[in-house]
Amino acid sequence: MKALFLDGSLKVDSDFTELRTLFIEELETRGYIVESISLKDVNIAACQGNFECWVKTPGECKIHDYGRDMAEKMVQSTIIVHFTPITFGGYSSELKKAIDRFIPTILPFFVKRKGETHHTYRYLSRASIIAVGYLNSPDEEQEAIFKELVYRNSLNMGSPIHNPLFT
Amino acid sequence: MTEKKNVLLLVGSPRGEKSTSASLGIYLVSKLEEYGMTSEIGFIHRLVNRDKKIQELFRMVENADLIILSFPLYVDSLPAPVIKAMELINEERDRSKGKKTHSIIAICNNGFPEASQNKTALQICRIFARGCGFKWKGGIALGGGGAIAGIPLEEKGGMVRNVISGFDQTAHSLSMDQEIPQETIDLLSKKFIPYPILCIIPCSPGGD
Repeated sequence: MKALFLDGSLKVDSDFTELRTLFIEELETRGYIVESISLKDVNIAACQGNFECWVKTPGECKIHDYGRDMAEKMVQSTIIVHFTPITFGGYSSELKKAIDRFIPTILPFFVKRKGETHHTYRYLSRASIIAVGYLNSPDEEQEAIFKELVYRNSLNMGSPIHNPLFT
Repeated sequence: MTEKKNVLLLVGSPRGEKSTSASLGIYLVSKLEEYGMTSEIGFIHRLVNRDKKIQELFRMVENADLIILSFPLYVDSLPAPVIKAMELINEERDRSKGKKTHSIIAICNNGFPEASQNKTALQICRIFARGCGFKWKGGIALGGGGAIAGIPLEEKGGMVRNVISGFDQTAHSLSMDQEIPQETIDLLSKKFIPYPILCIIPCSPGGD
């Protein structure tokens, strides 16, 4: 079983580095082969929103950078961990730059899911999401938005299980 | 003589001038200009990667009395460069201690029929406004962005009549420094294209 740990930290923060280490160790104890990526250290360009990964080169982004590898790793994982400073209730820009490049793994067609329109999936296997959001001080409003965002991602990406955690 | 208010439109789509985000924002700005406001437009994807451009972004924000953030929904949230811009603006506000009070609204469009899918993204914008000390004047959610496809609203005809009417009302409220009324937000979020037709329009994972 593979787990992809997407670290969306914007800077090195020793408190949260320790949390990251503990989390990865726990996954390994449970039998996962963990690949951890510090997103601030890899080159992933912004999604260009031109649909070419759907209609011209189905399943592949035309931008030749780490974003292509990232999408492949996402498809091959059993669990994807979204590790991020909670940023205005959502993900950091570093984590979001990776998630935006996930688009080649879905199809342009529509389907109704839980009463809403969503895209169909390109692949049969889909990863569960564990989202770990951290704040410097408690903020119920941001936590509620974060929880909703993780739920909506799981609906969009067809994740069998999603679990938002806060610290 | 009263000084003219300046409105800044920040377009958060990688498709820039050709995007639905630009079409919507530019229409609203044109209405605000009729109320005597001056305007400036910034395309976020070109403003967040180089120091010189980031300084230009800060200057634009500092000059604005009203900021309109118009962007497509990307995977249930805002496109990464828009979040980057928000992080940078928030840091700059902390550094400069935010001398001026700005008002802000957000317009989020998606490619699905349901405007309600934009709710989380607009909540993120509201928290951003709170963090920066901006006055939050409201969030507008639109579905069916693929049907507008970056074409000026005036050229889309009756299909977008609710959108045009809603933005006219929005401009009126903002010109009086008021929040966008809920009934205007509701009007703008009405479906303007039937689901079977939307299914055959190529559209993005969100809007554009």
